[in-house]
Amino acid sequence: MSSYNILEQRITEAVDGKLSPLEVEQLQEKLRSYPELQEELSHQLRGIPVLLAYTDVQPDPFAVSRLRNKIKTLPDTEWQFEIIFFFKRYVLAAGLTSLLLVSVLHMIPQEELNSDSSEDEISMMLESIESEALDWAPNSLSQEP
Amino acid sequence: MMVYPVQTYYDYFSMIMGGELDQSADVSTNDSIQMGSAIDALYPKVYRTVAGLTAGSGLDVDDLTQDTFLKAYRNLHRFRGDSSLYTWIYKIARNVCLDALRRKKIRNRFHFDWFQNENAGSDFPDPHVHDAPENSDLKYWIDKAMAKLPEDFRSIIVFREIQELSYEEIAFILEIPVGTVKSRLFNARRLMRDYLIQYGVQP
Repeated sequence: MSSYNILEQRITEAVDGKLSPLEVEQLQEKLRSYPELQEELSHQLRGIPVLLAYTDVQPDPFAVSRLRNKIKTLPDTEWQFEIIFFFKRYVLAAGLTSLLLVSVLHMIPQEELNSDSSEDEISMMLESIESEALDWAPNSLSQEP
Repeated sequence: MMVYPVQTYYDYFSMIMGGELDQSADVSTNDSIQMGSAIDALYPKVYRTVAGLTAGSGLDVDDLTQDTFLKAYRNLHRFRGDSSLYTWIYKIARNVCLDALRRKKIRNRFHFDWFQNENAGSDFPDPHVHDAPENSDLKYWIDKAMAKLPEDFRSIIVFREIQELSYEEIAFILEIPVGTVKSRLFNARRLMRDYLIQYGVQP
């Protein structure tokens, strides 16, 4: 940090009354080599009347009771807020994922889904199960007393 | 002072606001605790903060203050206690104001009459069209100078000059180092004074 920056910070501290009279004196000594900062210190010590201008800035007298009424209509437990927060945060992600899945399903050609080969495979599988069951049935019947 | 049972989240919020209950306290019991009038004390401070942060924008200060408290209420369970509650609320107030100012800027950008009247929605009408107040109306000129300040300078002026917060508290709210707070404050005061001199107000 440059010595100029350090002096700026010391000026701020002096303006805010954070320095002792001795420290202010030491600061003014250092500022002799920086006339613009010296001038700035004297300007800033006079202050800006911001607080004075804002003294009369007041909310209307019913604002707090209005706020309390609004709060009373809100959910009453922490977990309800958590659900709302969770929903707001992840609903977009969930929506986009669903949209993506639907789009992917639509992109798969219908022929592939309803292809004859799949039907053939299924019917062959069923036939083999049926024949195995028939082979097993007489044996199991013959073993009975 | 009234006595309320600790039964609802609202009671919890009110007590935290009143500084009558530690954040870590167990509020599952129905013990009766006195509810302070601290919201009443805090509300005007937050209101002034919002007024300063949105100076000259034409935004509704009351609405934004209510939004700040509602947001604080909704997020109370996220308050970690690493700062005092009021600095945490000031931080929320600043975020609420920044969001509102950003939205207003975007709205103005798409506003049909924008190129015809840049002062649309501003608290500072063109002095050639409307009568500007007398120099004695300090608030008007202070607001005008505040509105002209960059946002980071305006925030620092509000928190230091209006709320009189410490450097550490401002550093927490603005999320900057304490040294930066001091440097920024130095430059903000200088710029603010320059603007006031331009408007013929001698600080």
